[in-house]
Amino acid sequence: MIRLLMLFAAAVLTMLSAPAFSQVTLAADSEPTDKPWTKPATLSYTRGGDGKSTTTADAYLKYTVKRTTDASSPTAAATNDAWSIAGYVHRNNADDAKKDDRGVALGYARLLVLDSFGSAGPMSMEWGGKITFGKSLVLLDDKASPEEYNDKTKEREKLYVSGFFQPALSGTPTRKSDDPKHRSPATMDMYFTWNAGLYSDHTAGGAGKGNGRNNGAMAGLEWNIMPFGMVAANNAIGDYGVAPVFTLAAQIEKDISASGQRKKDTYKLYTAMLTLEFDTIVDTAGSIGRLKPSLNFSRSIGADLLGGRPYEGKTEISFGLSF
Amino acid sequence: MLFIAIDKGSPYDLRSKPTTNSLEKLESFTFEDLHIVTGFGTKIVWLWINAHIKLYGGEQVADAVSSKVKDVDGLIKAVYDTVKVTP
Repeated sequence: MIRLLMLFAAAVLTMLSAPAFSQVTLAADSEPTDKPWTKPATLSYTRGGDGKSTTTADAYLKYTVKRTTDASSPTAAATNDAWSIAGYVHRNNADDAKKDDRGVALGYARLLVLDSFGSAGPMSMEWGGKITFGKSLVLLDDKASPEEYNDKTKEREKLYVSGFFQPALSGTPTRKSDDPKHRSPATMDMYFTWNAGLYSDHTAGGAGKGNGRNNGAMAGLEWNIMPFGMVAANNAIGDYGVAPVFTLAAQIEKDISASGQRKKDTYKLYTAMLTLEFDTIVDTAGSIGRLKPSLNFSRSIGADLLGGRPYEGKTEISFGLSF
Repeated sequence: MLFIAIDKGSPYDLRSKPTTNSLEKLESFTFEDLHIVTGFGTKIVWLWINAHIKLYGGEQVADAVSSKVKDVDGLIKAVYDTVKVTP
């Protein structure tokens, strides 16, 4: 017992002695792991010809504290702990796609890199948990006209394992010319991300209809292909470079149990996406400046319990500017 | 340690290629040349460095510094800046 306590104290002291770094991020939504292209937070207002207006907002503001544990030997696995607190808003007041989620999320994640994969390609794994608490607009009856919604208290817990894998490339890396006008197009890049886990989703309050808890299991796979490489500047169109990214994603959430007035269900979501990330070629652009446009085309079909999405087909085109 | 970290983040099998199997030869490459995918690949490289750097007398590199590094030359400088030289 004393030995166990000493081991625990040593582990706590080791963690406290490692430096911690913190960061604040703002994006459209949370991701289990970071992506090279993150959808920026958005706020939009549309006034239709019939005089009706639509507003949408997607923002996820997160504060993260990260701590890397010192490895005990040159070949020991590398681990990094990240604690986060976030506030989120997802709102859409269009009659056929109503959404109003707002709340806070607490998260913990441990990133792991092992020394045993050899030349298979870069690989990392992450496991963690997340607790979300807030209010959500829940669709009660999609047969009614207009559809019946109710504002309810939502609380969700999620335990997950996720991973990143980039297949190995053959050959050797080649250096690009320093002159951006004479750069050759880069070779194709691709990477996969996957996740699997368990969830618990509880709904309470509101008009009392549709309340209860669903417990279930989930899995997802995402394939990202960059046919002309990941460097926009290598594929010049005038003073801009562009790096297209094709994304195919599929996820499934399957309820294992249901209580209260809720029923067991299976939610599947399929997404196909094209992202065009433009980059100014600073060496030749001169006065263009550093304003970078990006275009995103996305078609998705299906439902997402944890994302609060009822079954629907959706086509989205978004234009972003960053600097 | 730095060489292994870069090899882990790059999809090229750098360790078995005679043209790239030393840090001196890698010095002229950018992360893009090595196909280290922004976000995931760089995260692997810096996690490996920060976890093992204490064994070699250095200190962990802060995100504010590592996020600005775009090439191997810059990476070497950022890591060596953390090593305290005692007279």
